[in-house]
Amino acid sequence: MKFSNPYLRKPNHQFWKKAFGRGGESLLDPVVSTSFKIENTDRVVTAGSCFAQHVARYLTNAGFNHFVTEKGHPAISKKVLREFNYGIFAARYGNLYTSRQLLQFLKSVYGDFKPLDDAWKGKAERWIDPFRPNIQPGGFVSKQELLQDRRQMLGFAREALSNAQVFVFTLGLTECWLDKRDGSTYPLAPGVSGGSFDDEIHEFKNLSVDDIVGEMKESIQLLREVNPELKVILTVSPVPLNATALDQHVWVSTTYSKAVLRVAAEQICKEFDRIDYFPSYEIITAPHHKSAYYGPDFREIQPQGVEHVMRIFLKHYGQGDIQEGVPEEIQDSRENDKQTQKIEGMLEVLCDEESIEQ
Amino acid sequence: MSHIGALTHANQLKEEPAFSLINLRRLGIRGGWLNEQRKLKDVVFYDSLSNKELFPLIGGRYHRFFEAIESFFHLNRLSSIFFRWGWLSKRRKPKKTRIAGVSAKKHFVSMMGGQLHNIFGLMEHTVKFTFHFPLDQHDETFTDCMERTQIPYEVIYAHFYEHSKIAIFEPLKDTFNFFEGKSVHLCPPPPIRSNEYIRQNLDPYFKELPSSEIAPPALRLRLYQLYCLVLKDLCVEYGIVCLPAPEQAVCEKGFLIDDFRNNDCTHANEKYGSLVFEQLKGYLL
Repeated sequence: MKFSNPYLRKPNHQFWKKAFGRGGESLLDPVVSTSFKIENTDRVVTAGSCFAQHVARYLTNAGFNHFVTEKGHPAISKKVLREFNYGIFAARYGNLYTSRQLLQFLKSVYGDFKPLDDAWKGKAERWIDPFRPNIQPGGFVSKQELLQDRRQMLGFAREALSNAQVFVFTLGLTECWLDKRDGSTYPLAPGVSGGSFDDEIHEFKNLSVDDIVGEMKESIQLLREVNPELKVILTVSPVPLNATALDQHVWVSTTYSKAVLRVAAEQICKEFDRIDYFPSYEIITAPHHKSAYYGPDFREIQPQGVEHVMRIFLKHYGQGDIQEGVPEEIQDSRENDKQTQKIEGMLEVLCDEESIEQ
Repeated sequence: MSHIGALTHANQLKEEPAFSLINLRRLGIRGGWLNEQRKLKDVVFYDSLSNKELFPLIGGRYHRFFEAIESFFHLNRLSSIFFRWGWLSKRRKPKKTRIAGVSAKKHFVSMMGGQLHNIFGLMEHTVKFTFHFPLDQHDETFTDCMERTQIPYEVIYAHFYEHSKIAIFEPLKDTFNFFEGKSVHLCPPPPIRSNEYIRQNLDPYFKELPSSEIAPPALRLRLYQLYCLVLKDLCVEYGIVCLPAPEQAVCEKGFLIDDFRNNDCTHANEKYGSLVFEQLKGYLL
């Protein structure tokens, strides 16, 4: 009888003690292999929750071709364009927190989705886009302006998604709010940043693993119908829920939500070729960091955390002239407190969820 | 000055000072208006050219005075040496009651920044644009709206606001406070309606733009009206008065009446200046 067990001669990364190496937690690299590389000329489109904005920004800084089709009019100053959320993603589609929102967005871009309730009245006679409620600080001046801006955005998004080579999507939430009449999904509950909540019309939904897997499959199929060579990277946002609609502790809702998203991501990756799961969630939440990658509110991700995630991303996906390592701004921030504040400003993200507390 | 230069989609505008001179002359402050101006002895008129002369001295920041001297005589680093050696003492601080020979007991009229809307949209941009103007009460439309890129109203408002604040209101903040009389900002004259007139009288720097096409009158009008709104809001913010274009010079559609056109594409003539003068007298005196 031989002395043997199934763990013998397995690589180091499969063992807790050997997986992290020596020399500090910043070496944590949970990526074992990737199914493709990203050339610096590859057009990369990003979407998803707040965390996806960090990813997008770092891709740009690192020399990837973060593909932006709706850049804002060239006559407008860059500062103002940033304030109005141009250039955060490929087009001004805002945060897509859930798989259902992504699918709905893709149906708007490529097809037949026409919501019953397409504009909400905001404060001071302004109009709020229910599907990107914080995209336009101050709101739109008329419903006509809002609808035209959305049409324009969808055109830019179509151009981006049809020509992208890599699509990075960050799954953010399972909790969402729907319109019962046509199933429209909102990033924020009606009444938070515009419109008004009506329990005859609106309902809460907490997506299950099956919901998410089904919606993501449909989304990927839709994308690959128009763009068959598209490569996809899925991530799960490490940012906890800002609020839960369930009568339970927000942390309990957070762990449920992240667990569901993580399981769904795993299943989707197993079913499709050229789809990778990238463990940004694991890097940020790893016990080694003792929550140091979270800000004072234990929710916002610190620049060092994002930097760690993106360093690993570059290491495994980058090639060619892509600059591996820490973006210059981050290096400076370590040396100068004032600069750190500047970076934090730079990393300030559009987060619809925060409106819930306002 | 550089602030205004940086505004432009018209980054191609090379000689910003030329714009200031033209602005000054054609609004009627110099030339035929000088005699009138003498009657308003208690008023300081101020635009981006005279700003150069006055502003360095305002606000008790006397190193600016040395910077001005330094620049005039090409004495590089003079002021920094004086400061380092401690030669700049309180005795050099200008008296608060007079600056550049001007008494504080006067009214103050700012005419800066009169061209931002024109720089932005007199000529078609290579990326043609439109925007919704919620206060548009005039029956002025243009037909190719749907083919144009729509810029949200709030985006253009923020752009105008940002640049006007940096280029006009922040630099003049101390000046507004210095003068003990009323501080007033004049809105620029309304746009000329006729594209043909504009084409025939186009200023050289507009000819240097990539697009030789003149924007539709309705778009020019909306930009003008939006810019005046921004100026009005900023005036409220800085606690000064915003004087609109004189009603007698504005047609019912909102454009400059032909009689008040100057022989160029953006400015009004001296007749218009006289109306502004009367308007000011009514308000200030």
